[in-house]
Amino acid sequence: MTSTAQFSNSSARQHLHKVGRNVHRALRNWPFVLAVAILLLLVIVPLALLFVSSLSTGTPGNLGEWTFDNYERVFQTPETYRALRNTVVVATIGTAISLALAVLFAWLIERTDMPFRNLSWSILLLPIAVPSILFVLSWTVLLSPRAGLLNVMLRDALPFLFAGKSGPFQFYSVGGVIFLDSIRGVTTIFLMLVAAFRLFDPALEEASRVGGANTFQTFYRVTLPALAPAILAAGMYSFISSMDNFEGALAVGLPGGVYMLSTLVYFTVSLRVPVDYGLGAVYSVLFMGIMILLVLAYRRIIRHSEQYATVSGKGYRPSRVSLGRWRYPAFALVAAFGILTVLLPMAVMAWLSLRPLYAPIVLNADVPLSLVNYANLFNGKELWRVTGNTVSMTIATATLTMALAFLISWCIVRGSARGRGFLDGLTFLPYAFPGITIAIAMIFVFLNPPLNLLPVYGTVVVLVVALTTQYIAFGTRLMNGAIIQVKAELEDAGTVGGARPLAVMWRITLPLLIPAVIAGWIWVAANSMRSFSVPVILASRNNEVFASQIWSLWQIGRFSEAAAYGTMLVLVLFPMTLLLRRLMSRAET
Amino acid sequence: MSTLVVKNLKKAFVTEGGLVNAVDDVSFDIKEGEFFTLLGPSGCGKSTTLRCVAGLEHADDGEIVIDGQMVASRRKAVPPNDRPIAMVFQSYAIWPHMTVMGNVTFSLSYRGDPGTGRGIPRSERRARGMEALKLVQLDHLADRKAPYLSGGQQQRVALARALVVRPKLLLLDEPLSNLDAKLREEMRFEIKDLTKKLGIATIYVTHDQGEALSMSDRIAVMSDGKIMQLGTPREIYLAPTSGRVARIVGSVNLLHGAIANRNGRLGEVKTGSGHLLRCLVVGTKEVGESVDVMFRPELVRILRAGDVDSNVDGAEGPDNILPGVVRAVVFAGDHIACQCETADGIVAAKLMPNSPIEQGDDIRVLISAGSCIAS
Repeated sequence: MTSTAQFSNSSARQHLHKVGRNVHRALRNWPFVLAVAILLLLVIVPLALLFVSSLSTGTPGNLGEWTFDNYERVFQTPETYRALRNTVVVATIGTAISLALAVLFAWLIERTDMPFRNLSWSILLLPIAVPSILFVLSWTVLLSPRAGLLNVMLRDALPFLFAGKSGPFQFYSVGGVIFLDSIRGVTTIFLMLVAAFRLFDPALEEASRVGGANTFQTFYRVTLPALAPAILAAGMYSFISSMDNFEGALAVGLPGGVYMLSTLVYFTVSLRVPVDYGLGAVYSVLFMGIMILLVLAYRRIIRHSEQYATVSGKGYRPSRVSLGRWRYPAFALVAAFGILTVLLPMAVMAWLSLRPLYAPIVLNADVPLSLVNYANLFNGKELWRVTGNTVSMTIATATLTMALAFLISWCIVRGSARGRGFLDGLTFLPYAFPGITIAIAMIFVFLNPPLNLLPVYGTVVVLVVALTTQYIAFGTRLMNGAIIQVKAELEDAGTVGGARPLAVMWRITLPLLIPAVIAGWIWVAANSMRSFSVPVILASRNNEVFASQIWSLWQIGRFSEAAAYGTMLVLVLFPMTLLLRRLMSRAET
Repeated sequence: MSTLVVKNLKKAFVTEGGLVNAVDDVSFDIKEGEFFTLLGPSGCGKSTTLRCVAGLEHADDGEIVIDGQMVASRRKAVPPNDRPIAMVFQSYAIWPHMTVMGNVTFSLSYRGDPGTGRGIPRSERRARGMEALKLVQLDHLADRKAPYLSGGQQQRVALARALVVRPKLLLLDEPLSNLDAKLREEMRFEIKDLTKKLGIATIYVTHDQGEALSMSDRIAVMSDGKIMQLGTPREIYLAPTSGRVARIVGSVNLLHGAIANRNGRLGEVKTGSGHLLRCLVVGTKEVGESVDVMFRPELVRILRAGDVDSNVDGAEGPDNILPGVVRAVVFAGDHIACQCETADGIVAAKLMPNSPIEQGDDIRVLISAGSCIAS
């Protein structure tokens, strides 16, 4: 009797001891706990609320009863299937074209003797500085079926060929969205591929040449297959971004009655009268479901592509392929790309911003150009309010994202193997969140208890939370790479030298990561400024930023003011983009 | 009092192949000012042992006591920053964003003076840093940025950074393995001199037997997470207790046989071909049990046919003689390596460079009983 009591007593004590040890271990691991908590808040909570809302009858703030009704309605609407088909068609064709162009450009710039290669590099990078919404709106000015400048010009020049009041380009169509998506997608793929082309071990090609294959056979049988995983991964990534395309679908698809998934979501929760949040939630859930499948496929591909060790990293200067008389035509192709993506759209915007407000948009020499729109903006209060919002949103998002990314990556890279996979998966998930669904999730998060008690809905804070969720995946991947470069021994030396873990992080790890942190900060800042779907969906009178302001002015016909806003935004984004290139290339070497 | 006591240390890792006992019940202690080396091939657990002592790894079981203070046991684990140690890493781990002085004085803002136990005032830190840099003759580079140093200089900075806190115990994790051969030789003596002069107890981890033998007061030879043998360099080299230890500390000839008779440490081993070899027998093996007979190539002498040696042919006779034929001769400058075929297998010998030996010579291999270890 006594012995059993003693036994159970000691085992209880052992158990207590064990619990105490686990608690102690968890507390010592507080960065990990913190990282997981923040990620759950940012990623899982919105996802869960969207899902719950899709099964509820009510509206944000008052969810009501459980129901499958929303799903039933979605699957009975033919519009759903049409939107899905349009989205897949646009993403497939758009990605195929951008992939072909990007591979060609990467090869021309890194592996041939095309002239002006450094300039070409910048030309391919600069589309980043032009927010999608400006790019898309400029093209509607040029190509809208009735009044589009190019359409009018063609009709005037060749009246016998193009009769009527519209065309010849029927821009408000699937074709129009594909056109914009395909040239817009080139830069992302190019940036993902260019390093692979640069670092590709020329010995592989040389071995093929020595083995008897000519230049073309070598390219076809050695270079392309060896780079195939990288190309596939970039294409997949671009396909996912195309699925997410909102600006083109909104400004070019919608006027032509062409719905895509993103615009269908937008229509349901913003334009339709009355708005239908339940339906919007279902569309969001479906949209995300598709995207999660795509992202999982993408992860498999990049895991595979990392196994291919084609990249030597030895800093070879491989011999370049001679293009002969095709040298200048090749550069002309790059230049044409620059004209279509940057020069022409920005010329249109700048020209528009100099014209009087409300003047019909036609090419007419009689309309005087002046800076009066800018003067009015600078004298008014609105510009300063919008600028204040934009700047605070940008700085807060970039700082918060990079701080979180540092914390999370540090846990991923230096943490225990068990927690690592979990965190890594959690940070990858936001890749699958289309901007528009993040924005809608934020509506549910901040209008439902308990967070509706915080007076943040309709403020810049909501934008910051939404954008941070969107960019955390990128930030974490960048920091992962950077922290892996910092040898663990450098940190161990600090600990052995007497510094506590926090002091080691502050005095050793962080200073070594400063270049990567700055590059990531600028990337996130530039993307926050350009972001469109989040600020537009979450727009209110208190949190207008440049992107949402441009859109709301455009919709009420104040084109010149919108263009002035747009031009100023691009003037800020240009130097940021060029700075980013310098920082990134320095980080690479 | 021992500066370090390690008792029954155990540490296992989970790998793809399953659980690996990296450190398997390791015990040793280090006296004040002693230079102690953990020697073994890569993966033998020597670095893990060192990292457990540093506190960078948490042992699964066992105790570590540094300078009378229990720093690791089942109950507690003192973090590295609270252990009275200093460490030099294999990659040097010089912080590239600081100057040489910044690297060296880093610890002074966290670790107090070991004598008084009090913090070191800011004004005094630079002087102490200079003092440490003088020890390694780098005081003229104090304000240079760390990336602008050669490998050898980085190594010295790492050493100064460790010495500046006047540690009770210095941990050196293969500090010379990234240096070129000549610099490595120089640094061996410099490190040993410094630690002796300052009276610091040192654990030195290496896979290089030359470093271990030439620097250490005592060596622990490790393999598969266990200490195979612990002793002075002479003991380890001349009287290894197993073939494995013998191979880890140098090249060795191994012949197989069985104990024919044994009288204390002396005994005779009958080889496969029937030769009787007089040996020193270590361990507890009895008559009739099979053993390995080990002897070093440089302790072998070779007599060509016709050579007369008073020791061999005189009244006393040599200890062991194996007749054979020279199969291969390699001239290596400071010695001649030759392979002789005997009835019991190939015997390697290391001869003087002026030895006239040729391939195909009929020879006799001579090994004294004191050089033959049977175990």
